[in-house]
Amino acid sequence: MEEICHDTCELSTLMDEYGNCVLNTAYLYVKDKQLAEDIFQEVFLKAYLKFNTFQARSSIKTWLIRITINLCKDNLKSTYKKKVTVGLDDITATSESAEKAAVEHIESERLYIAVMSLKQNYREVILLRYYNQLTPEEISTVLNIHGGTVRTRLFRATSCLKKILTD
Amino acid sequence: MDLKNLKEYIDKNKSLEVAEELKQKTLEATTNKEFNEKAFIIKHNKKHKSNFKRIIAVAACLLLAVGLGTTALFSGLFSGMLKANYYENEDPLRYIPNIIVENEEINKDMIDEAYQNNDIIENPIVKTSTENISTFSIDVDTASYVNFRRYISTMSLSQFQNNKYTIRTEEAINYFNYSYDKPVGDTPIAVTTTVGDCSWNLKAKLAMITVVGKELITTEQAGSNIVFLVDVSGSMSAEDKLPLLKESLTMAIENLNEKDTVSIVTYAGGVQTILSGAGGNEKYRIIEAFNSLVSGGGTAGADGLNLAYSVANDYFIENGNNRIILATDGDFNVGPNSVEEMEQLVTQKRESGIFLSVIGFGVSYNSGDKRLEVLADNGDGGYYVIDCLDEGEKVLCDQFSSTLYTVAKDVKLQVEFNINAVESYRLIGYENRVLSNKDFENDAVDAGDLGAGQTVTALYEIVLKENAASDLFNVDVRYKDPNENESKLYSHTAQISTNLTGDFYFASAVAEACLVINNSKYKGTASLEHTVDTARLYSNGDIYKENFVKLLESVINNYNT
Repeated sequence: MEEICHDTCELSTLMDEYGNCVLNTAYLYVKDKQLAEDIFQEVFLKAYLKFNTFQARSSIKTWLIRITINLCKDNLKSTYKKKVTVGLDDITATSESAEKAAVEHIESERLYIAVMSLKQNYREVILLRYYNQLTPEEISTVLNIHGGTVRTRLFRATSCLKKILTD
Repeated sequence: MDLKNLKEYIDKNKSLEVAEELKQKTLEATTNKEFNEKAFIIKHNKKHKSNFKRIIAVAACLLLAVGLGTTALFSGLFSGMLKANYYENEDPLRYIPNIIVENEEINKDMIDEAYQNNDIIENPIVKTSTENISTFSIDVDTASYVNFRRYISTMSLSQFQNNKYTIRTEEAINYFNYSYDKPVGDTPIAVTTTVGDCSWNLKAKLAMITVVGKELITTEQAGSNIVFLVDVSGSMSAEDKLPLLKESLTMAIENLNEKDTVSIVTYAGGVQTILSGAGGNEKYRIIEAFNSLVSGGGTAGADGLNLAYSVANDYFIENGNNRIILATDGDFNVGPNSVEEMEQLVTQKRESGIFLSVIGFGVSYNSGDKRLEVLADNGDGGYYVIDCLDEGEKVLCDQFSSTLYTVAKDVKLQVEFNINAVESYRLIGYENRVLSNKDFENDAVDAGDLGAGQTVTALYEIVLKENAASDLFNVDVRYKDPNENESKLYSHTAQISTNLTGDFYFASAVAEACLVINNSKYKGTASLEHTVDTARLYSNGDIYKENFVKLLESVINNYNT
């Protein structure tokens, strides 16, 4: 996979392997299925065109997430400053009946809503760390910011989350 | 709160699946439509015009770069073709000035006096036959650029100029990140020299000298004893002052560890120690202390400094980083001699190994700016202005170690021009940092201090003699180790590079913008439009450089409004 993507066969493999990651990273950013799918296409077309410029200094996953996030930011900028908000009514119905599972579900939902209500700087580092499961060093590559800044943002983001969840 | 379950929860409840149809559509785009970059751009344009413009710009840049590269190959050393060719493509009617070489004696007193009166007397063009040695102190501050950004967001450039506001060129250049050779071995500094064309004067060349400080691993250091001296006077109540100050300083805390100590002293009508010697790992205690700050009352700056030095003494770390960080808007109003007292105090205290850095919030051009610069200068520390949280992040997170750790103090540069090769030179910026040549060797004369990993760039506009040799100038640097009082000499012997990097062009663009902003008599053909073009080409994805481009674009759009 670290080799140059010469043909569409390899593009197909790339989409199989990283498609869900790219689509959902975009979806968490723009909160719009259609837009997320447009971005998905743009990301892989860009990857197809630019694969020869990919330098193995970062992993393919990091590289694709970087392209995704840059495109998401362009989209948010080019339309309007979209504030991502989600309400409790976003909770999808589940068939789980056990009380414990329901409580856990509500707690997780509260955490998810809290994460999504953070301002973009903080939300993105939390999602990159805990959803995309990147290391602080990889986040630093994706966002083109200093490693110390990533750690500070993570610290501040988790402090904000604690505050939101205890209020 | 368990963030570890976040992924599982999102995957289960909030995620989308990539439909086979979507993959097919993506594949078809590459196979069925003779997919190529041009097609991609056209397709892209239908949806996002701004992206289209950007891609076109990138494509144009690539073409230009190829053009320039080819030209460079055939032009030879200093042929002047590189930029000339660029200009021919850009604007054939550009006016080429005939800059007269003057003979003005550098008079430091005259410059200092003018500086205090809000004027900048620009460094003159000096003939090497009159004086071929130029000496100055480094300047690592970046405040002037941020202050310019703050002010220009509320007025047009013509209003800015009419108010006699100026930007300190060296602070604007040094605000940005550059990649130069880092020091190797035990030497704390490295020097790089580059010469290329001068974009606003086709008859001149631009000589760039950069000094880079050694990187430090902060956790391996002896520890930091930091005293935050916070101005909580009534004038600090505005949103971009105390509230921003609290959030920004909190960000610095994350980078401290158990070897460090943090104290907080406040001053308003009176002075108070809010926190005394807390461990760097007691982060919540420190944050609570910052959160408790409220503004109100007068501004007893000198009393505040006295208390801060006394607290810094109590927790002094031998061979460590002992530093007061003064956070203020620079508006001192208690005690007629308060400011002079403060200057004397910091000058005296730096000898004891306690440095002073200054962070300005909502600093006024008229009252605070110069004063804070002088204070930081006397205290052997940097002067920064924070106007938003992102800037706080830059100063206190991205550049935490360079803001707080000094690797070389009293750094002076002496440039000796080869009289057989260089006709004249002019130091761009550094007006209030010029030293007399004899001060280079005099260790009693104070100069700027270099932080860990910090880069300082100086530019000279030089006019070469005909058939000039390649040996244009030599650079000597004098510096002291942070806890020493005797200077060391570093002679830069490496050859001057003529491989022009993006950093060279970007720094040159910033200098060009400052010539226009300050309405310099040496601005030649300098224009903000040209600056924007160059800076955009060499921003290279750097957010701060891209923001500079956006800032100048807004200045151009608001020129006369």
